[in-house]
Amino acid sequence: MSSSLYTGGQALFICLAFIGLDLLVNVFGLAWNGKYFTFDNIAHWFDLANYSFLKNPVDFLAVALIRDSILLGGAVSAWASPSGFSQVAENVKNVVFAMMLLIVAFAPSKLLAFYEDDNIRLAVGDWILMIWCIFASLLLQGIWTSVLAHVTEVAAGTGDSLLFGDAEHEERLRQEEAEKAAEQRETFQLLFRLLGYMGRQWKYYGMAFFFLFCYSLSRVFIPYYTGEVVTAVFGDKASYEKLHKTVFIMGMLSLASTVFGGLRGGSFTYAHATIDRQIRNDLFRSVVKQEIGFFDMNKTGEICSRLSADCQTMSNTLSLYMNVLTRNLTMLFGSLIFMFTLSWKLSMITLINIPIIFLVNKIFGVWYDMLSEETQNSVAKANDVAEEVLSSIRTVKSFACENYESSRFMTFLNVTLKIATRKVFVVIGLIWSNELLQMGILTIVLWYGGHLVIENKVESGLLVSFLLYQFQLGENLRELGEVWNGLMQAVGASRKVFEFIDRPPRVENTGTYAPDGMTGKIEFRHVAFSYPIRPDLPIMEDLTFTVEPGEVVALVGPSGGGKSSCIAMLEHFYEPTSGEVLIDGVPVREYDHKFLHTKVALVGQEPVLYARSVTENIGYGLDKYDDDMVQNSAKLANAHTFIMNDTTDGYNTNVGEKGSQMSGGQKQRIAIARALVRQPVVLLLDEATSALDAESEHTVQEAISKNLKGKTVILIAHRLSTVENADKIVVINKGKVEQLGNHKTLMEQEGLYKQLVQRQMMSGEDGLDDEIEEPEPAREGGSGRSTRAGARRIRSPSQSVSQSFLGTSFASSYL
Amino acid sequence: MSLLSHLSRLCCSKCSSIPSSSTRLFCFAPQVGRSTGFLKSTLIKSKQAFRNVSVVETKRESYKLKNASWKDLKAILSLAGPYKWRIMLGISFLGISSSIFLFTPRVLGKLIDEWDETKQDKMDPNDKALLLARFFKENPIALAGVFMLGAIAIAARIYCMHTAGQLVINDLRKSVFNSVLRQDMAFFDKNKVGEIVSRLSTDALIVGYSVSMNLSDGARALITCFGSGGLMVYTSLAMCKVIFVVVPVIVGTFAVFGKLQRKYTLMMQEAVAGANQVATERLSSVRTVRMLVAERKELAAYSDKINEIWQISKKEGLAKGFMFGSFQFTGYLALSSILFYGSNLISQGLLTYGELSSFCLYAVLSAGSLSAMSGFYLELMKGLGASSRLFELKNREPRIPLEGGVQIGNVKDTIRFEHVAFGYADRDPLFHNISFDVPAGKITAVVGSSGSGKSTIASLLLRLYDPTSGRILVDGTDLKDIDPSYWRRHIGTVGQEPVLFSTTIKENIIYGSLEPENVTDAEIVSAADQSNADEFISRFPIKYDTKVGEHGSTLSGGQKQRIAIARALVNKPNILIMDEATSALDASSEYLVRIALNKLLANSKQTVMIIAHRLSTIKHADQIVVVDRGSVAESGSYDELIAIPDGIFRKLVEKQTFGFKNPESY
Repeated sequence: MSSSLYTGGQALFICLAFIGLDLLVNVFGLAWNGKYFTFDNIAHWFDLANYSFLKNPVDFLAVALIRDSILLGGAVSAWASPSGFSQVAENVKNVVFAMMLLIVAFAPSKLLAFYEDDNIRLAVGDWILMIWCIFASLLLQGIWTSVLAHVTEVAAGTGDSLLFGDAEHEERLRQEEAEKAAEQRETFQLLFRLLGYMGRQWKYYGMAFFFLFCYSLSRVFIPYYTGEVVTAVFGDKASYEKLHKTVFIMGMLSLASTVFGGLRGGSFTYAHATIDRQIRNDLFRSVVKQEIGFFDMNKTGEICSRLSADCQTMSNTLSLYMNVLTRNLTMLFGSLIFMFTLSWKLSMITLINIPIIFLVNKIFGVWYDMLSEETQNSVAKANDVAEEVLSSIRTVKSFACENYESSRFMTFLNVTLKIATRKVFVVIGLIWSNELLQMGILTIVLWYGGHLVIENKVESGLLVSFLLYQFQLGENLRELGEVWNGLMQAVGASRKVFEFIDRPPRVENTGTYAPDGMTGKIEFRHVAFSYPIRPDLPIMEDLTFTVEPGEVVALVGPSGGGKSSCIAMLEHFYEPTSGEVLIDGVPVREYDHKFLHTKVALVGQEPVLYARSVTENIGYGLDKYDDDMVQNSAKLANAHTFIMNDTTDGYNTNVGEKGSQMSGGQKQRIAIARALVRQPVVLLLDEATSALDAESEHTVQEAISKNLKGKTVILIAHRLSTVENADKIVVINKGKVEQLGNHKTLMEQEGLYKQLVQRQMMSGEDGLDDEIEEPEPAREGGSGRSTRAGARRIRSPSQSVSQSFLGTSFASSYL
Repeated sequence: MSLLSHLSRLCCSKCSSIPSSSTRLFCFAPQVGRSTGFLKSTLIKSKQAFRNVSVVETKRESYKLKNASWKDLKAILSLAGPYKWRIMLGISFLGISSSIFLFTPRVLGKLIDEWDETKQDKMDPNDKALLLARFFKENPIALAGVFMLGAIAIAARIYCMHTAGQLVINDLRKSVFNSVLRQDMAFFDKNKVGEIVSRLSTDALIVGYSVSMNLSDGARALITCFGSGGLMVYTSLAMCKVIFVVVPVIVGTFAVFGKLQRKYTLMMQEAVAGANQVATERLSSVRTVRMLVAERKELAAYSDKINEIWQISKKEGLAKGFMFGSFQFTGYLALSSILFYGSNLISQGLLTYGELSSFCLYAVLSAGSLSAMSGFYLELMKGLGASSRLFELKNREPRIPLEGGVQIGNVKDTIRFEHVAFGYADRDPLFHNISFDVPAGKITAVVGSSGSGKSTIASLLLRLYDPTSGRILVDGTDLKDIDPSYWRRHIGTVGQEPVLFSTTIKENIIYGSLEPENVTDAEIVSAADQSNADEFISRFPIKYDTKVGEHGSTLSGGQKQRIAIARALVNKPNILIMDEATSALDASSEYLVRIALNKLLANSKQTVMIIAHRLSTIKHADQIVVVDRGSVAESGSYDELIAIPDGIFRKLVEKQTFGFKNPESY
């Protein structure tokens, strides 16, 4: 029914039908008053001169008229302006609901008025009027939300046009309806999810709830026995014996509730600690599984904020509010039972207001939920700024931007302040409503209760007990209101946390292939690739090349050409858009994750070290290692010498956060050692030696050449001294393989590689150009220096010999 | 060294023979040996002194913590100073609402007596409470009106206090962040970024709450407690005998468990900061975690940290359970005693039924406010615990100030390093005797093996650290006397690992400009063109508005370096420091950048310091300084250094020369 649509005319007809039925039932009820059904009764009730609220049921007709006029107003509006009114109806739905609740409250009020006369026997008509009053109001609410909020306009034109327009509009409304339902469902699903975490700790919560039940059971009797004390003093059977007995019982109950209350609080807190641990663990585990593209799109500052602030909000509010919620619910029902037992008339007054309280809490709860989520987001942004600035503090200070960053941080804090201010108004509205309703109940109960006491219909002791239960009930309801908002806050905080936990990695590491005797043949077949964060900019198009086992292959090309992206895909950080990346003929994604990263080791452009000892950094990621393995790897990477000579504690030296107390070259050598310690089959060197001095680089290159026999090596470098000795050189430019071959072959071709070599060669060996005497118009500016160099050579025989040697070597290579 | 350099220049200008220089160098060798011996003994003494300092500082810190409470409390309250009017307004509304709700039980008691007809004759006709009770009996709406007034006052109080709290939190976060930004680099070497972020988010919230809403709730509890107490005495003095026995027990309980709570709060804060530090470090380096298959290991590390929190939470739960349990026990005991004794008095005709009701309601109010006071005390203790570390960060004075001093932003003559010695905190000295000049308007290159301290020289020149001995002179003025911010603003820096921020390319380039809005697009493009960055930037669909990802993660290393170079150039700095600025560029890009830089330098007379391994980068420097084993080993022009047989620089050059073969293998 909720998915169907109505025209203005249909809506008007339905509403008129309801109004007719409503009035008819009311007239019928008025007519059937007394022993017989007769119209004389109607005439009798309309004798307003003798009207008495305590006896005359004609009020129900007046209330019905009010109810029907509201619906009629809506129906006429819908009929006059169908397309515009449905949205208005949706907006004022809650207001109408509030009015209906007030009308519902009228029925029990009238019932109490009737029972003012002890001799009253209600006629059939009176019951009809009261029950129908409640039912009709709820039915009207249903009509409003189901019919008036779904009124649509009939499209003018032909039948086909009508069907098409109507179908389209209906489809859109149905979709909106589905989205709304999904959103509401989501809130409850998140709540159940939070409760699911509690389910995992059922032992502790079972214990806590048991203690809670005992506590509440003890506590709920105290107001009753307080009244008993009064009775023991004032009643006909007053005596010291009864007094002492009653007070003794009270004392025991107090003691019991105290003990159980303490145990309950401790149990809940204990369970809360375990939940906090579980949630943080789940979040961290999920985040660490995400592919690299996820981190390109999410700030680590935001992720860290989720880990700290959101988890804290979730677990704290979850445990605390669940504690308070269950306690207050138990006390609530206990109090209600006692209140009805003591006096159903006084209890009826209380029940009149309860639906209104829940309505208020629902409205403010939804609003509070949205603001909580906004708060969490703004706090995450502020933390993101702080984390980024503080982790890049050297750059901030180098550019003297401390005040600039401080202002930026303040800007984000102000956003949080704005949201918090709006939140305050919601809290104020909620507290106002609750306080007002509580005091209203109290006022009415006191007035009516006093009335009953004066009429000698209840004992004064009973009134005292009822008042105490009244206070307790009010307190329970007030705390329930706050608890609901707290739960909404937890839901708001949990939405993002669960979003991270539930996110499936787009690059799955679910492969299981782990062969013995991996040989290390690598193939890129027609690979196309774009970064997920920027899919419109292709990094590669149709990239194809092969690396044979045991081969040393160098990737060369301009910055931004995609060389590092090849490495990233080989490491399975990203998936190619199309094409395949194969190792030994098997796609990379099919390899077991841990196995792949054991056999394929990467040393990156900017190696990251951790704030631990050198040994721990080299052994990072290994399940077990010993000092010999570490030192052997360090020697291979030419790191052993400086570790032993230039640091305070040798291999125990702490390298500082992100290796901040090591130079760039030292960091790279430790990173190389870290890669070698795993004895990989394939070694990936992405500018691994760019920060090394020439001597260190030479030593590392030599170590790699000597000790990596049989290993497949892919290296990316700009230093031609690094790539000269490679078995194969792949020149990549603008995402494609432009040249392929070894150094000698490529130098014989005209192309990018030769250009790169010449550029670096010229810049390194200006003096040799004159000797070869190649014409270089652009180099005319250096002629003066060349002349001076020549002069020096003439005067230094040994220098002349050295230069000749270099010249000979170059000539050989050139030929 | 200066003398040697001077003599070398004299020899060159006079066309003297090389053997003469060699002879002089040989003559100085014995003195260098003796100097080294002296320095070693000095190092030993420094080491011992350093260790003593560490011990003293540890004792001082532990002593400081014991006396931190009251000073911190005062500091916390002073945070609310700027908003005292708002807070006072809130407390005023609190007075209104408290008055209304404190008087209610008395009126209710009279109302009850009014309906007990057996007592009507005995009541005093002039009692104001009685008059009010009769009035409300006839006009119930008025009672509702009074309660409404109370509700409005409550709402107003909450608004004032809540907004004041948020303002305090904002101020606290800002001041802590500001203080952290001003610290010197040594501070960041010791403190983890993740821990600092945790302080900013969680601790600031706790402290801010302590001083605002908690203060408000505490004040309300205090007023209610004393108001109820006073009215209890007024209602029935005899009944108060029971109270005087129970209250000291309650207060004593709070004192004991409050201390315990504070202890666990401090432990909790430390544990949470530890967990955050682990998470921050791992997530910031997730590529490394992924490539080394360490997810499970890092999860275990994080779990260990979370476990610590859990262990502390268990103890905290116990302490909390005991405290609330004991409070409930004493509270209910008091109530039972009141009822027992009160009933006795009623049976003797000394107390009316209504008066007992009033007293009970006041007792309940009093007990409730005591409970609220315990909450207030707890929150205050939490605030103190959270504030200890927070104020430590806030009040730490940087050893190198952010501003202040002579405003010098250029070099007219020379920058001189005079016998500079330096070591990172808790480490052995990195170098002990660095002396060389950086002439104004010239290009000076610093070379040496990895770990010899070249990058540190750049840090010292930027004054990110201070030398442990010796000094750095700018045109004769000590660098310590120069305003650091002013000085840095006139230095363009391109680092070894350039850091980009998660914004657009354009914003990254203009970062550091004093007035970013005044930098024109033409200037930005010009700087990018000079660093050969415009070529690849133009290939992006939205060009300079392209976002670079976190820390520039979507750009290659070479692309990041070129943007960093553009960022350094866009401000037209007087001094340029390039620390391995082109190491990630390919030869072609480097060639173009160098050509552009040469033109730029030739025209603008900037003072340049280059740190590099790539000899093609430094070949054209006016002066090359070779650093080895903590001191300057060689200094001079390329040609001069290459002419020194068995020189360190010459060896470096030979090994990087294209086509070089190892003599052994050859």
